[in-house]
Amino acid sequence: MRTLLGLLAAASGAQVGAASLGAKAAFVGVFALLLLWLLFLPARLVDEEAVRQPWWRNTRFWAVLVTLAQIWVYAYWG
Amino acid sequence: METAKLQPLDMALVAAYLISVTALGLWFTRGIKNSRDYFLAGKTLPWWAVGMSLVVSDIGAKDMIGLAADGYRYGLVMMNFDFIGCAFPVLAAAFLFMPFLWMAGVYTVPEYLGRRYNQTVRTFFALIWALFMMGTVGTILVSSAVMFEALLGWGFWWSVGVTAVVVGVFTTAGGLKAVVLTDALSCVVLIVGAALTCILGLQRAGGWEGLQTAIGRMDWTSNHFHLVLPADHPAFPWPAVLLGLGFVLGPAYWIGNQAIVQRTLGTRSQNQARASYVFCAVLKLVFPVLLVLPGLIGLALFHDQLGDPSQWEEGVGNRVLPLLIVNLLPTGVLGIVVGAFMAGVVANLDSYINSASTLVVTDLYRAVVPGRTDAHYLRVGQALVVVFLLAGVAFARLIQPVFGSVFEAFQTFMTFFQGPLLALLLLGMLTRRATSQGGLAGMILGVGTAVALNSARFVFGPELAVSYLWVAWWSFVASLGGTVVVSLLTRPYDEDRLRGLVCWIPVREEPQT
Repeated sequence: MRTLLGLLAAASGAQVGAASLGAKAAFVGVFALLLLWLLFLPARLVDEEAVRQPWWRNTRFWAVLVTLAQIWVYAYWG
Repeated sequence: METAKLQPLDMALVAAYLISVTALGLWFTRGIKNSRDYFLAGKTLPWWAVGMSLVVSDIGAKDMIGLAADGYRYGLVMMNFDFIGCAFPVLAAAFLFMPFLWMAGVYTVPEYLGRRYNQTVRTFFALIWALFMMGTVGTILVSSAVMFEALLGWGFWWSVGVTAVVVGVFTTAGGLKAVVLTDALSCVVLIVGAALTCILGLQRAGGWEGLQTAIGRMDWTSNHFHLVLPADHPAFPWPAVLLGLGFVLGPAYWIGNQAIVQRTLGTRSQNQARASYVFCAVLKLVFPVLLVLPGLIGLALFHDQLGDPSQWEEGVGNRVLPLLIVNLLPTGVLGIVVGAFMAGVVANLDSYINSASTLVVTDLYRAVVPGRTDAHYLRVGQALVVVFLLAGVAFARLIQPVFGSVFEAFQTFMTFFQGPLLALLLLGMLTRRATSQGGLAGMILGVGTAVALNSARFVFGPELAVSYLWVAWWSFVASLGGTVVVSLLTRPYDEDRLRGLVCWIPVREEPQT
């Protein structure tokens, strides 16, 4: 058990000996993928089919805005 | 220890908040006719109130004190709890999981698991949630007592008593509606109070540049202005933050935590459920700054008094925020900030107690005592609020001398079952192939893995302690693997059995509200 746990902890660290640039890219990448998903989400999943909403009531618009802010946060402060 | 001297104006502001929140809560006790009104607010909640309630349900005294202490110790990396650990899962949940759970017409997350898998899985998670919530109520009460002692010089029982009475009065009578709408008021007070602390603190520290210069002079703070830390960092290595927090703990919390999900189930429509989560994500952009920045300001201004955290004795970290408040805030502002901390405690506590009551009545009591009238279940739910509050008080007294860092204790509680819960929810909602036996196997394997990894430090010594972020990740992986393998070996469900339980097989029409 001790060996197993030691290996597990070591493996967890060893998987990721990447430079900090790669680490930052991983975080930015997660939000970039989320952004793409949000942009290409079918209209039926955001209730946009029935009535066209003004931009300030559009949940997709606000979600994209939050995601862009997160990309900036990790790109700048990562 | 130095404590704040509340002037009459401060006391008037604190009293105004406490009276307002109690009166508002009691006002919304009108119109409670059945258990649906009590547990789901009759599905009448507006998205903006639910969004604000989601934010403050997530932020209590444990976060205010814990994040300020950890902000002092580790710096900006603590913001990850609200960025990768919140914005990412909240937005994913807003467009995929929350509207779906709303459509499923369930009261609780274990209820969904029971319908998707089996009664054993439902009962297991309901029991664990009930225990977890009682533990959480205890940690909230301990951390609020620590805060009020440091801030106002209140003793343990006085702090706990005031908190329990204020919360107990309107939560018992008003149910989810009273909880959510008082939370909205608390959210405004919390934002104003925390923002004032940050603004006045930054002014004293010489602005952002002054803060950076002061902290940069210390020899142990090289990572304080980075969100992403090296892979060999002892507490927050970036892979563990990304995988454990971003992919497991965050999603499990925002998709599977009954105290969070329940208020969204009380919204008027699917679209309002979605809007409440997106609004929460918008508000959450500012909260990391409001909660972690005080730690950095404390480091810049009071390093001489607080010293290097590696030398800290038990409880020193809990002094960071109170020290800031006591030394920086003028009369009037102090009252608002103390009110803001009370708001955080009240909103956090009422959410957990209300959800615990819902969960026990819906998933456990109804199964043991079936066939009673709705009025009976409503009365039991109200009585359970009192029981949970008293149990939380007793538990708080028990854990008070043991847990130095209440925030870490909270995270440790969660890791035992958050990974398995998320695995079962994701496979249940997103795949047709997950079966009852698979869910059971995955649950056992995941929880077993979490318990084994968490026990390592006690069995083999601290050198083999596994970070709670890794525990969350590996228990998730084990549960996912166990569920997939056993599901593939067992007979799949037919489509009718899965209607309304899998995202891709929707119910035919939206339930009446």
